[in-house]
Amino acid sequence: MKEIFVRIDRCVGCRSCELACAVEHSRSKTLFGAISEVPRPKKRVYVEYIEHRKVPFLCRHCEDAPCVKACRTGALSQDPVTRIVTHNPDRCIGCWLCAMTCPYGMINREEERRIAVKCDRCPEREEPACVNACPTKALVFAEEQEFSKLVRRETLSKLLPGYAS
Amino acid sequence: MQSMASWKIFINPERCIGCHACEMACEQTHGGISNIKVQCAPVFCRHCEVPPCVTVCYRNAIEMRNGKILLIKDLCTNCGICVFACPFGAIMTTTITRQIEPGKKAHSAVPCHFEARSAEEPHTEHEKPKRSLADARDDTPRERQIVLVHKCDGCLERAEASGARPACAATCPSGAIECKDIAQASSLKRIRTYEVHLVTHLTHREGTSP
Amino acid sequence: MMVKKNKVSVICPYCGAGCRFGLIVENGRATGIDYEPDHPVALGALCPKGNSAVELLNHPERLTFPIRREHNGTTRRITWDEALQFVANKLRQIREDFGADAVGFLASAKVSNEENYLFQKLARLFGSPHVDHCARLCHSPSIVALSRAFGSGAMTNPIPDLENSRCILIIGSNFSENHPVVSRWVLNAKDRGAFIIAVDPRKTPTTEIAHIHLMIRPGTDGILLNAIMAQILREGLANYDFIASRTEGFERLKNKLQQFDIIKAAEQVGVPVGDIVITARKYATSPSSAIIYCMGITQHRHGTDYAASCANLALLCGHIGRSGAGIFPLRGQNNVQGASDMGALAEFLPGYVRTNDVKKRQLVAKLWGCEDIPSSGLSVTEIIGAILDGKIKALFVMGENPIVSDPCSSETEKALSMLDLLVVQDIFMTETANFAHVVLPAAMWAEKSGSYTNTERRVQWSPKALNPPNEAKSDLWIIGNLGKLLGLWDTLPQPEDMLREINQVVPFYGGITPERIAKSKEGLIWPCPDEHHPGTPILYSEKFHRENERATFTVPEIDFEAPRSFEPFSLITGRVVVHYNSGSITRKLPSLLRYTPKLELTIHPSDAGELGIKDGSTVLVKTVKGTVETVVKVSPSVRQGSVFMPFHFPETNRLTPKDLDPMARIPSFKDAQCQLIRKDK
Repeated sequence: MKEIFVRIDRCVGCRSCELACAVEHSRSKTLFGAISEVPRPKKRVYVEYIEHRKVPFLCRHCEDAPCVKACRTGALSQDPVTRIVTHNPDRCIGCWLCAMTCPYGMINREEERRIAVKCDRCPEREEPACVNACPTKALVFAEEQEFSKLVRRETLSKLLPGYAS
Repeated sequence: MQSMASWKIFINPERCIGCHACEMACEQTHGGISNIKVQCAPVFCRHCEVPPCVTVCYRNAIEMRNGKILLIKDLCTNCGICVFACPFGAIMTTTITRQIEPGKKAHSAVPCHFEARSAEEPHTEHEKPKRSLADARDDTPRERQIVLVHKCDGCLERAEASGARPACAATCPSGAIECKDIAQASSLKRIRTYEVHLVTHLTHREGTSP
Repeated sequence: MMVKKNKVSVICPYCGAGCRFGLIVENGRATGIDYEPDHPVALGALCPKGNSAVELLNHPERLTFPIRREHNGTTRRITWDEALQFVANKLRQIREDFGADAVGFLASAKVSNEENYLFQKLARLFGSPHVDHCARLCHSPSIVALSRAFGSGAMTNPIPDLENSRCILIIGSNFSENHPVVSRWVLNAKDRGAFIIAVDPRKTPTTEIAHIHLMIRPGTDGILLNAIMAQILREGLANYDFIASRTEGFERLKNKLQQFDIIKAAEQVGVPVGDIVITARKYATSPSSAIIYCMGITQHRHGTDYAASCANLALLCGHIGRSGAGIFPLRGQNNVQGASDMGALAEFLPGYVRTNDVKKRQLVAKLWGCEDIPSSGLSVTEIIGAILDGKIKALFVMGENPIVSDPCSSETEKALSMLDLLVVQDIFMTETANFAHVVLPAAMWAEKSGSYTNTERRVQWSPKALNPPNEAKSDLWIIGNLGKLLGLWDTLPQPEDMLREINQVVPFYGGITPERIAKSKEGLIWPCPDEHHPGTPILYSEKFHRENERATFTVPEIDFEAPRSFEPFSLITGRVVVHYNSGSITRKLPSLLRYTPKLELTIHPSDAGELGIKDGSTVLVKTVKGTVETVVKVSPSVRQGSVFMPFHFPETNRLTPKDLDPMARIPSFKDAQCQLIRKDK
C-alpha cells in the first residue's frame, strides 16, 4: 500500500499542503469558495515552525491505531486492507479521547459541529491533495520499497563522486 | 484560560501512579462524594461536545454550559438512564441517606404531575390512599436510602468564580490530569515528536549536530 | 454571623518532598485545602496524604492535656506545671543516681528545625550524649557514605532538575508511592526522550514508568552496582577527565572492579546480562544521568557500602555537579533532613560537626555558653539494647513511635517497660505512648510556626495557621519550658529567635534568616552562608566539600562471591501510597485507611500455589524474632521466593531482624527471611 513519506529537509514552510487539504475537504473544492463556506473547511495536515525548521506532520494511519482503540462509539475505524483510519462524523460525540491518545497530535476540532477531524487520505483522489500541492516534493506518495529505492539512489549519488578517480 | 469553553480535562493514563489523590480532592470539593474513580487511570466525565447523556435525559436535567456538561440536581430524579448511556461509565452512583423533613412527603421538591406513593400505600388505582389524622401530624424525622446519580461538573463554579483549575487537575502529583486546549495540546505533541524523535534523524542525514 | 475565613500557606507535614498548600481556616478550624500552583516542586499538586490534612487537624482523638500513667497502668489528667516539674525532677534524680548518660533523647523527623535544635541542645546541656532520631532507620548510610565520598551527605540537585536528565537510574526507590510529586519530573524527562531504568525486587508503580526493570534478587544491589561499573570500565566509557581532575582513590576501586565477572554477577543478581550492559551504556554515555535511590539501597547489612557504590558510579562517569546529573537519596519525612542538619544525631552536632572532634565541638560549646559538650552517644537502635542492659534508665521520646518503627518490636516493648522514666511527647496516643509514664500533648505542624528542610536541602517556613486544641502546646514551648526548669536557660525562645541562633551556629544555614524565608514561596536551599547568598540548588559544580575539594572513591567491603540467600522466603518490608511510616497518623484517617484498611502480605502465585495459600486467606508469618498473623494477597509483583509486607501496621516490625550495618548502625530491615504457615494447619 502507498504511504505518504515526509522529507523534512525539503520543507520550506509554504503551507501549500495545509491549504490544499482544507480546499479538498470543502464543498466547492475551490480556494475562493472554501473561504466563505460554513462550516469552514478544516486542514488535517500541520506544518510546525520549530526553531529554524519547518516540519510537516501528517496522520500516519498507524498499524495498530491508538485512536481507533480509544474511540468508544466506532466513529474512528480502520480498513483492514488499506489500513486507512477513517472518521465518521455522524458517530462522533466529541469526547476527545482520540486527541488524548494520538502520540503525534493529529486530531483537530471542528467548531461548528464540535467534533473531531482527521486525515482521510483523500479517498476521492488518486494522489492525496497535500502531496499534489507540495512544490519541493517534500511529501512523497509511494510504496515503501519505492521510497527506500529513492533514498538509496540519493545516498549513492553523494557517495560515488568520492570514488571517482 | 482564554475561553473557558475551549479547555478540556485531559487524562494522560501513562502518568497515573494510582495514588487516589484526585478522588480525595474531588470529594472534598463536592460535599464528600467523588465523581472520579481510579482504575488503572482516573475515569470521569469527558464533557463530550455531542453528549449521549444529554440526549437521553427525559427531564432535560443535563445541560451544557461554557463547554462543560452539568447535571442539575433539582431536576434529576436519579433514574439512572444517563448512567447506561455514557460510553465511559463516567456517570456514577452512590447510595446516600437522605433526611426527609417531618410532615413532608418522601420524594422531595421534584415537581411531578402524579403523586408519589410510599411503599405501604395500596397500588390499585381505584382505592384512594387512606390517610389518618395521625399521618398528617407525623413529625418524626425519617430517613430514606437513595441511589444518587452524580458526575463530574468540571469544577465549573470554581473556574467561573476564580479561574481555578479543576481540583483533580490541581492535585494530581504526576500530571496525569491536566487542563488543556485541544488545538494547543496537539501542537505541543507534534513539537515534542520532532524534538525527541525526528531531530536526530534529520541531523544524521545532514551530518550536523542538534 | 461573621465567619472569619483565612487562608494560610503551609508546608505539608508528611514526606520529604516539602509541598506547599493553602490551608483554609474558618473560625479557628481547618475546613479546606487550596492548591497553590506556584511551588517549584509540587506545582500545586498534593498526594492523597497531603489531601488528608484537614481530616488530620480535626481528629477527635488528639491528645489535648498532659497525662500521668501510674505503675498499675491507670492514667489521670495532670496540669502542665505538674507534668513538667515531674519530668524535670525525675531527670535530675536519674542523672544524680546513674549519670547523665543514663538518659536517652529521641528527637523527631517531623518537628521544625527550631524545635529539633532546641531539643538536642537540651539533651547535650543536660549532659547526655544520646541524642538520635529515626534517620538512623532510613538514610544514615547516605549521611555516612556520601559525607565520606563528597563531604556532604545530602541530595545534590533539586527535584525539578530531574526533568533535565537524559538517563535516570532508579534503584531501591518507589517514589510513585512515597514521594508522588517526583513522578512528574521523571515523566517529564521521559517525555523529552530520557532513558529510565528501575532496579527493584518488586514491581511497583515506579518500575512501571521505566523502560527496563531489573527485578533483582533481594540483597544483590551491591553486586549489581559494581557489575555496572565493571562493564563501564570494560567498554572504556568512564569519564577519565573528570576522574583525574576532580577525584581521588580511583586506582583501588579500578583494581577491585577489574576482577569482576559480569556474567557470574548477572546470574547472582538474577537478571539478563544484556540488561546490565544496557544500563551501563545508557548511564555512562548520556550527556547527564541521575541516580535516584532510597530504602531499597540503605536498609541492608551493607547499606553504607551500597550507598557508597552509588556515589562511585556517579563519580566514575562524572555525572554530578551539573544540571540533570546528580545523586538523589530521597529523604522520607517532612523534616528528617532538617533534624540531621540540626545535629539530632548521635555522632553529629548542629552543622555536622562531629561530636568526637574536640576542637570544633568546643567552638559550638562556646556559642552555647558552656565549656564542652558530651562526645558521641548511642544511636536509636543501640539505645534499646542499652536499656535492656540496664545502662539507660530514662528515655524522652518526641514525635516518634519506636515500638512500630524499630525492628524487633518485642525487644523494644521489653526495653520500654524496664525504664524508670519514659516521657512521650506526641499528637496521638501511639503504641509507644501507651508505655509512657508521662504523655505530653503536642501541637500539629499547622498549629505552630517554624522552618522545615525538605530532601532537596530546601528550607521553607510554615506559618501558624490555627491554635492547638485545648492544652496541647508546640514542641518548642514544651522543650523551652523543660529547659528552664532544668536550669539550662532563662527565656522561652520564639521560633524566629531560634532560627536566628541557628544562623549563628550552623554555617550553611547562615543566610537562611526568618525574614528571608517567611516571605518566600520556595524557601532557600543550603548552603546559604550569608544574607545575600541566593542558596545552592546544585552541589559540587566547582568543588566538593572535602578538604582537598576532591571527591573520593571508596572500595566496598562486600563479599562478591557469596550473596546472601533467604530461606524459605525473603521478607521485604516497605510502604504503600496512602499510609505513612508507623501508621500512627494515617491508620486514624478514614479517608486514607479505606484504601488500605489492613495488613496484607504479597506473595507470588507460584509460591502461593505450592503452599496451598489462596488470595485473601490468613497465614502466620514466622521469623526468629516473632510470629504474626496476616491476610495474603497473591500477585506477581514480587519475585518467587520473596514476600512483601508494609510496615505501617504494628505486626510487621515484630518480625524484622536487629542486625545493624556496622558503619551507619541502620537495621537491615530489607534483609529479613521468613516462613509462611497456613492458618488452618
